[in-house]
Amino acid sequence: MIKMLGGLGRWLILKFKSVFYALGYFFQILKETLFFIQRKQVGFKVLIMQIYFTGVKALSIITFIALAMGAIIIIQGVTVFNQFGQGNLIYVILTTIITRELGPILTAFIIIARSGTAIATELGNMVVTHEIEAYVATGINPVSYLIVPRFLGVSLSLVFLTIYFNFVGLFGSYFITQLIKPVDFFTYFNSLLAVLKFEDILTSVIKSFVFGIIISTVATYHGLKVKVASTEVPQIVIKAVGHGFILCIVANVIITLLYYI
Amino acid sequence: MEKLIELKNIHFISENFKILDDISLSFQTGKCSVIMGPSGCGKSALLKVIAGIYPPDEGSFLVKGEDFFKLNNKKLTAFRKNTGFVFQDSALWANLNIYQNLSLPLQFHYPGLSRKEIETRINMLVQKVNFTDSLQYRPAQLSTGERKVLSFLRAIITEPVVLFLDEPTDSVDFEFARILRDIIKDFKEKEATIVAVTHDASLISQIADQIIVLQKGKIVESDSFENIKKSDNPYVRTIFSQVLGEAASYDTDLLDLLDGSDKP
Repeated sequence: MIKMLGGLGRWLILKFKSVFYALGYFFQILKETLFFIQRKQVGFKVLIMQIYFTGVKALSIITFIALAMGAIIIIQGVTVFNQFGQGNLIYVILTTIITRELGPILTAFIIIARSGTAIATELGNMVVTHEIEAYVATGINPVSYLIVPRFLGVSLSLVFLTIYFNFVGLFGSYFITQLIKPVDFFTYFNSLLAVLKFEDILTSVIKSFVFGIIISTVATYHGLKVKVASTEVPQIVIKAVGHGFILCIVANVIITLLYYI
Repeated sequence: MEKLIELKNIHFISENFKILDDISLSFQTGKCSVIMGPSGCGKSALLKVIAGIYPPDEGSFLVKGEDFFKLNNKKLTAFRKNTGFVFQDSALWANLNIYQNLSLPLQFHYPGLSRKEIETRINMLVQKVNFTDSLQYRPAQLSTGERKVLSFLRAIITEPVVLFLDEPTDSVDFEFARILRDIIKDFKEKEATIVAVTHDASLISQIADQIIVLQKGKIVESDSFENIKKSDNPYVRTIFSQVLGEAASYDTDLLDLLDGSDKP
């Protein structure tokens, strides 16, 4: 019994230590982010590349998913709500679900799957091949040169991609719907704009920015945790994805609750 | 002569395995030290601790009398600008091409340099080693030897005054090895401080002022090259004989062999 309690105690101490280590890592990123522009960093090119990879290259898949989700909600909503004579509710549901919920969280999931995994894999391999040590030896701070551009790139891209998702989901899906269940053009857009509030857009932006911070921090943290072997890389990628999903969902719940308080 | 780097009772543990055990050493400005020992004895780890890449688990690491890990950003950047490190496995940045690998340290340490100046400096350096491949290649497209040469060029591109070399002539062909030895010799003549891990007898004979012999993470002997060549310690003599290959024997005067050595 004492042995078991001892083991539990050690496990708890380790967990606490790793949480504090992760928090320290996060504050280190924040500190270096503040100095990023001031120091005329050579990492600016890395930031552009990260925005290109995370933001621009993900546009096609975001377009496809946003169109599909928007169309599904419209078709389901129009069918169900019309049965109860509440056809106009579809616009409230559409803005609430797409703008406040699906837009940020689905975009975050896509970015975890695309960029989170890529970042963790790349950094993990760089540790194994001593490339991170080479940055240290050259005097280039890896957090400043490698992590901050990824942190900023993913966070900014996620905000823009979420806005783009919302736009395509709300407006673009109208044209898909026309192929299946025609809705009058002016009725659709006037009703949609009438229920779309500034708070919806703000919530969406806040959520996406927080998710971007979470995804980039978790992916880089796990990537740098690789120690010696390339066999560790897939294991840390799985952890980065798992922790990314969980933390984004937790943050989503917290922000949604705060919205209604 | 001024003590540039000083290690005091350094212990270094990796993956629950003690790599370095109670190491105390000092390196003087303008002197060349060579670390020797069998594979897995902790030579590369020691070199990385001396270069401030690996923080030790215990002990103190001083640069010009100051605790290295308490140096402010300005002093740390100045230290890195003046040092170059050649990795045993090259450690070139795989996502950058050769030109970018060489230009990044320059861009970082000399932000005022124009593109043209950087290009000129890189071209001069690659010509010095007769490197003829395209600079647009990625490291993965090069041979192991070429990667090693480029790792060397990256280390010296900022014209450092302190060099940390981990097997600099290992896995490169005869001609490249000769060129690299000549460049290292030039650095020594310019009174650069050099700390090298090498088993290249020719290089050792040309540059070594101090020899450090390691065994299982502990220092067996650390003395001037002149003294250590005459060492009676059987372990040290074994290491030397291995370095010199079949040419050496316990009955031969190692001093003569090393002094006369000019073989790859």
